[in-house]
Amino acid sequence: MPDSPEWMRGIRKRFDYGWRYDNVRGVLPDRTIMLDNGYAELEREVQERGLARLAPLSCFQCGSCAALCPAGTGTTEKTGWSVRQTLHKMQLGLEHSEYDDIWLCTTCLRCSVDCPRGVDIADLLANLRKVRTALGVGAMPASIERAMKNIAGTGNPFGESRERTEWAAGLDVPRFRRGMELLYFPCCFNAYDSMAKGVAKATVRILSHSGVDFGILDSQERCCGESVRKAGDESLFRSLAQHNIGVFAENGVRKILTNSPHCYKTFKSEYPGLGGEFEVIHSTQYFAQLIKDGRLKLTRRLNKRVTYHDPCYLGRHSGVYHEPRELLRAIPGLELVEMPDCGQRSLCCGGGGGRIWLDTQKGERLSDLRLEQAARTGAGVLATSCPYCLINFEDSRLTGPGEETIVTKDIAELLWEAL
Amino acid sequence: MAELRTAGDGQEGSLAREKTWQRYIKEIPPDGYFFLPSCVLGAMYPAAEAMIPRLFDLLDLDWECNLGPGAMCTCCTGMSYHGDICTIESTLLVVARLWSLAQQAGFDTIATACVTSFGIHCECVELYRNEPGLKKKIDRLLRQACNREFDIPRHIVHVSDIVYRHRVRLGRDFMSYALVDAKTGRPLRVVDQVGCHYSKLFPDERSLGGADYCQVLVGLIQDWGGEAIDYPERRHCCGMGFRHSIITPNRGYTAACVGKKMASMEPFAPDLILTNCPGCQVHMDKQQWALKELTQREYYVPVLTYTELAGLLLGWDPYDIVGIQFHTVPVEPLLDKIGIPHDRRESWLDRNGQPLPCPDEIVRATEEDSRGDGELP
Amino acid sequence: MKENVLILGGGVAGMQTALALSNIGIASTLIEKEPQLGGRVRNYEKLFPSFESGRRLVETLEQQLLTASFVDVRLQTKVACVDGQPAHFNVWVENHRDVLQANALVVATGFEPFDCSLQEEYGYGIYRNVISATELERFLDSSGPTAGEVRRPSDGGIPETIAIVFCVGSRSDRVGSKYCSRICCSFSTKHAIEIKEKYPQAKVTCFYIDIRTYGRGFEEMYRRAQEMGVTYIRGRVSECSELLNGDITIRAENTFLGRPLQGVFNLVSLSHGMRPSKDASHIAGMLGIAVAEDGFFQTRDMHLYPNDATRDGVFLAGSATGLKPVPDCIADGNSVAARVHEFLRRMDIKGDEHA
Repeated sequence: MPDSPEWMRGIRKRFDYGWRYDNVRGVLPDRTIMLDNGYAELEREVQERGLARLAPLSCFQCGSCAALCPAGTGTTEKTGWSVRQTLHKMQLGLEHSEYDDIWLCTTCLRCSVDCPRGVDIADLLANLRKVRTALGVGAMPASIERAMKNIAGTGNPFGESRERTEWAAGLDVPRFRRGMELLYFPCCFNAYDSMAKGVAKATVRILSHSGVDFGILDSQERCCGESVRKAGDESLFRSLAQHNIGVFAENGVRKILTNSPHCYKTFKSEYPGLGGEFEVIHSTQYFAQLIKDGRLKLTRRLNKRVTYHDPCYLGRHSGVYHEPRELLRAIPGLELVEMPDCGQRSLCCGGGGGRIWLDTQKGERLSDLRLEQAARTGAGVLATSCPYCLINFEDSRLTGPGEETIVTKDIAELLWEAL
Repeated sequence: MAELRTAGDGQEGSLAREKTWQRYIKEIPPDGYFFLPSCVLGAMYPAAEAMIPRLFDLLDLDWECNLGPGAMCTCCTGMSYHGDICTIESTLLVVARLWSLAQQAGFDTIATACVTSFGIHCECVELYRNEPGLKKKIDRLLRQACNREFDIPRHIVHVSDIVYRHRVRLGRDFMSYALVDAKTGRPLRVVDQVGCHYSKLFPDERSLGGADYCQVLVGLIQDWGGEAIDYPERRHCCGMGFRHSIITPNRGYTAACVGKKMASMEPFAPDLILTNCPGCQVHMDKQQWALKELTQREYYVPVLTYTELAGLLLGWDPYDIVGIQFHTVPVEPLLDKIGIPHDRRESWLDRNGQPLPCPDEIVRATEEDSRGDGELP
Repeated sequence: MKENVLILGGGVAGMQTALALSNIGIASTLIEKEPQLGGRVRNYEKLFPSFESGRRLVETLEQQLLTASFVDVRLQTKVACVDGQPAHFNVWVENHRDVLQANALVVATGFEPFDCSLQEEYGYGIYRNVISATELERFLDSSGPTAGEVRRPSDGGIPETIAIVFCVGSRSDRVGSKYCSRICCSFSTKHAIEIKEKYPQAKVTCFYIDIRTYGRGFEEMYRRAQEMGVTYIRGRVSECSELLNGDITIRAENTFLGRPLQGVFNLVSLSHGMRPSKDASHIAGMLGIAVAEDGFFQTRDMHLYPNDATRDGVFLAGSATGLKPVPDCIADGNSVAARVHEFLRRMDIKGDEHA
């Protein structure tokens, strides 16, 4: 008697409900959703562990989020990610295995801004990642895990030394002392990344030039933890936050200036919940105030055509749209052109939600799309005010076909050039 | 809770069941059948089909068929039509010829042994009803093909309808056994597997009891002493599916369908599966073996056609007449439950009462031969 | 001659018509075949979207009727036959002892719930734990047979998982009616909220095709249900089956995810649509008015005369012209009073001088 074919021997008691055999794809589990299996289970686990509520209760599946989601409308066929469907699965309390695509979300918030039922979608997705991490299911992508390990180890995602102030070498930046008006907190990228260091340097030069009473803390600081929380590692986030809050309090910090909208949002919205109430201001807001007060005078002409990309965390998350533009318009000689999808409609660069640590395949990179849009305005410079955007856009330019000549610069860098 | 209407439990006494039943009563003529045998049933379970004439004769019915040497009866093309091989015109033509045979013999009622045939014949009748000019066209084609004329028959019934109609008489006057556990008196739990093309194709006019609560087999079960089981996948197709089961690579679909049904009925502990469709009979029986190989799950629920069940309860010889040796899932345990005596040794006798060569010998002979010129004995 | 209006049907629409007529000084005879007034609303524990008591609403109307000067209420009375012509109708009451004279007739005979056993695939009447919305209302009624507790018919226990199936017998070419019964989405949501309020731990799932909570305050009620944790799944239920322990398996497609779905529930409530009352055609024949294609009474003009029947002097109020929520029935009562008043003036019928 001949042996049973491989596919026959391969079928065992795997499938609770049913299965079928497809002569191309082999054995396939039944697609039926069994409401009794995952329905109560996930909810119960969530409740028992005191995790954040997972179900977007008032969502009525209108789909206006999915149509705007950059991951869903996406650059390739493969992504096929639907925010709406994910939210519905959460409403049903479906089992953990159902949520494979959740790492596609950059928390850019395009979905939530116009949600008719006011569902905070990015927050829910972060919660979903949190739940999955806590339950030990759904692997965090390896590179994100590495970044997390680094942050836990040396306080920065790159695994570099704890010494965060090397970028300030030779710049004579004062150390923060109790009583100073402002703490300048550079994002880990601004502190360590070779490209983004320029932004930190420009910032402190502008602040010094304008006579601002500010200082930096040294290696006591750690990463603000923004991407840690979005990646779902709640315990690491809390330890980082509590550490930072402790350091700030010890040193008498009252007001924090930062370049990164991610740090900005985290300090402003998430640290208070853990006991850290500080006044937080983004560099563009502060510089705009300086210009208004007459403390910052821009004298050199920059005859450039510039377009501005609103970072998700500065624009949609924090509502700061005008100040960056005021700054750009204040630069003599600078021509500001708006690109499509600007302001609240700004297209994500692909760096949020922890995806800055992920390598997105060529052809699926949102920053490629965005750079193209920027280039089509005829501008020579793409201005932005977020280190992730800066890195992503420059990366797109350098790995692109070579046709794009539009250079990405942080507004701080442009301001410094105009001093 | 007196004020609240509570549903009847099980199958009896429920008002809703009565209402449903009354919506789907169809006329089954008492007599005068032109019998059309099946392709599959006769091949796989020959005794099941051979008992149909016996039952007709037992009930002293007026019937005829066109079998034997020089037979004019053909397949209805059901398998090929539903397997997307032949066109509807071919089917209409072949069926028209069969109708012509019936009318030639003087019958206006077609009785099919196969549910697919039943569906095909009913579909042809519907087509003639709904398409003007179609009858004229097929008239012309039939005349061209074999110089015959036909009329649309008055009734199309399935043989299980006939057995249903005469079930009380069979049970009361002829049956020696009942669907009851001989030792404990417990009614046996029977799953009814009605062919899809019987109950679902034209549920309003052609199915006794409609599609959801088809009565044709339930009536037999209840009147012969058993208990009919309702389980979630009751109305699920057995998966025969024509081109699914004919083509080996697709047959996994059929196995999966049967697997789903078996898993669903298992908690209800059925003693027997009763079928009226050859496709269901073949696959509910044989896929249980495939499932055992594939999923290590054993069900061992015997599957009988309504004629086989009738034959057993009438006390006919289980091997010689009812042919339970053709079954894959052993039927002997059921016989033990009912209390029908049987001798396993008789399962391996040929037509003349001589034992057939035993399986080991056949295998040995096959192996020897395959080492030789490759021809099987 | 003393003017009189005959109102057939003592539900809320009929009651309000009588009150409204009385308030403008027109006498009416309110005829009701049951031994009490209030129709179906009497038994509703809660009305939507206010969640006030239906019984209390009916009692309020009854109180007002008691003090109304010009209303003659006749319970357990049916009309046997009507003849005459507009403004001078003769109405024979069932036992023929009485002949009433009426100048105008008002039909407020309400509706009939769809018989769920006609939709066989849901197993109503066959599977024990499949109940209808009407029965669920009886469960929820605090003065009903279970004192307000929702119980599984099979074992009397409190169900933990409940499914509510929308559109049973409505919007269908095959069974029931083609039209939408309008208020079922709303009363189903009301039921879901009532159940969650009583049993906060219960899981309530609604299976729907559309959510038509269209009225004032209805959308807010829907949102409230969602925020209480009621799950809404878009997918018309295909089939119900019974398991050994009496639980019901529901099969539907989850159209949001594009996948088939199966759920096991302790109790299933079929939110059935409503049909015209059983004797609608008979009454139409008696009164010489037309019935529309959907079986409810035909109005003279859909937009301009929604309360006029197709015969002069005959008017329609309440769900006799199609399902409507309680406020609309009350509004109908008021509208009909105005229409009757105009009719009587036009026909030059004047009542006696009332003090």
